[in-house]
Amino acid sequence: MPAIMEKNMLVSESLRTTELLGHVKPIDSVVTWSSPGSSRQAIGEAFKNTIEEIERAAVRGEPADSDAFFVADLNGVYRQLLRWHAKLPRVQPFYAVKCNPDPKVLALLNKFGTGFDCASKGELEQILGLGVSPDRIVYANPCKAITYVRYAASKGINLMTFDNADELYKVKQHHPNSRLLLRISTDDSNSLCRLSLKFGASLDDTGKLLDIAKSLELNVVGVSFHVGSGSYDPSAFLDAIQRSRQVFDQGLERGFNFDLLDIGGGFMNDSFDGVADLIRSALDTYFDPSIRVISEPGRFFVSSSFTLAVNVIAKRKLDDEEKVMYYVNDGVYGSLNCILFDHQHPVARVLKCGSRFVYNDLVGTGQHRCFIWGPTCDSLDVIANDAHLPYELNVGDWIYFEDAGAYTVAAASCFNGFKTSRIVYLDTDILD
Amino acid sequence: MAFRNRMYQLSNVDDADADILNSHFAPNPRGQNHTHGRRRNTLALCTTKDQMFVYGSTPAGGAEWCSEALERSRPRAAFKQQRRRHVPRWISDSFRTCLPKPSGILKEQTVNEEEGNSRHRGKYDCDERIGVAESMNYWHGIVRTEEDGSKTLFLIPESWEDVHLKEGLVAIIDLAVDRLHCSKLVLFVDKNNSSLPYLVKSLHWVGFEPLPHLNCSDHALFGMEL
Repeated sequence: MPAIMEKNMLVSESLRTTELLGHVKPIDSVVTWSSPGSSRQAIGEAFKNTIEEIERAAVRGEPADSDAFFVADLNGVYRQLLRWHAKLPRVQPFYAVKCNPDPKVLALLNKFGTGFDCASKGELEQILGLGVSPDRIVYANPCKAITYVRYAASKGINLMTFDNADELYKVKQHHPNSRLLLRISTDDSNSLCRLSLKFGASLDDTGKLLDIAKSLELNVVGVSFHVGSGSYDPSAFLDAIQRSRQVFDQGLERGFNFDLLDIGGGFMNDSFDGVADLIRSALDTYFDPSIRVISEPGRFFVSSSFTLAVNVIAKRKLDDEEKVMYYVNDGVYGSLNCILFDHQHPVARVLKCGSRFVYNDLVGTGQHRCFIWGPTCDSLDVIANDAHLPYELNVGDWIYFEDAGAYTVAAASCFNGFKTSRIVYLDTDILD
Repeated sequence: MAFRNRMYQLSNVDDADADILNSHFAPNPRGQNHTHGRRRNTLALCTTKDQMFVYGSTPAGGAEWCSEALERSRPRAAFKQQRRRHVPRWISDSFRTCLPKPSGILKEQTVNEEEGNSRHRGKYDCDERIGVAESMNYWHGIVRTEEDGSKTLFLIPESWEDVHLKEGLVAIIDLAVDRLHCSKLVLFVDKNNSSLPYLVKSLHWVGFEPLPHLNCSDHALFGMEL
């Protein structure tokens, strides 16, 4: 009887998400900016106004805040949310907070009932501070130190992943009431590098891990996997869902009552429609409707909604005059963490050259080849090795990077002196 | 077998304690692990100037056993000077050049002059040198106490090639929080490491972030709040 009631609650919770989204009426401002073209025009206006404000402050001699800044289009996040629920209505998203912990993005996603995937104490504190209930949080850090497990237990966050026996013993000792997801690996080939973290348990080990969990009387409620963020192969999801079905069967053999499947993240904006169709079909094939399905998307929601503008602070011509080095006021130690941590290659485009704003000019690659460096003169602080710009720039000009929402906005911490980037929001009415 | 090799034996502890640890790593012919191959254990042995203890990722009871064993041997160790592992020159240089400017209390120069052997004393009272020994690797570290009383652990591994990243980081985080009571952890990563992109991405997933530091030409610093 308690198990049945719990299952019904889970099903109703999943339905509540769909109902909540269905009841939200379109806001007038959403109609105004409903098309990406209109958003693009608004972003250009925001860039122009902010830069003119900075230049007026410089003329008046005030200490101008000439740091790099973002323009955030929250309606872009909303459009992605609508797109998700149109394509994957059965899957409840748990947003990966590490991807972009901006407070307004989190507030928007919380308003529409999204769950959250937290990987650190700071993220847990931030999400709990929004008033999110602990049952809408999944704790999925690959390195579960005892201090983290204890902290999750003290906050009532019960949904956690595991993939080795050590974590089971640790959870048994410090968080015995947790609800566990067995994380399985999605690639049996050898890891590219020994220093990559080993994610997930192989299918050869899942049976033994479930036996250990059974002997420890831990509550394993389902399976999770994570296809890599850089994966462009839709069949990887199909393969992972098939593996999950096998592990579900192993769990049923051992007396577990599996009712939760976590299909991880790795959704790309461009390939989402095709991948979603494949996932929806595979889920309907392999799993009953009573199985609740969650996911951990990150960049899908925020990548295209943020654009970063940086200022050229120094210029240096090499002796052969063929290439030029530009130094801008932000780099891999600031808003462009994505270059180090996410192996991204952001494409630099000219935003303002002299007195010309060229944001909306769809200029392709140009003939002007250059390096772009960050401000720290550090050998790792390289933004672009071989950028092609249509114009030669001077000190004071501006460059922008599109799709700058994933792994760029840094959370405030004691290391960066709580100095986070400035963000200009296009329209915050959607949060009301 | 590899643990019987002299090169891999722990050499910075008393002989008795080294025997305890090495016997723990030795294969157990009667245990269940024998049939499935010996499983990997990551034990971290932390040696400070006052005490030493073992912490790490082991099955339930393993850590307690090691701690208990060392507790039993503690009275004898108390009467014997700890033999500290030799610190390689490049690690000493890295700590000297790359550590952030200390915010602790600088020892008075006059006190050093009165001592007579001031050259052999540490310059800052707030810094404490430690060592963390794993089965095949050794981490050199410094625990620094900030002005507000919080502590930061700085670590450099002797070799990244022998780091088993997941098990090692879990053991180090547990060690830093439960034993050293640190609130921050900073890792020094060699910029010339050929595996730097993969290592940096893994550190990011665990929760580290890059720290800008202009004095480091050879290392990148990655820090995490614990």
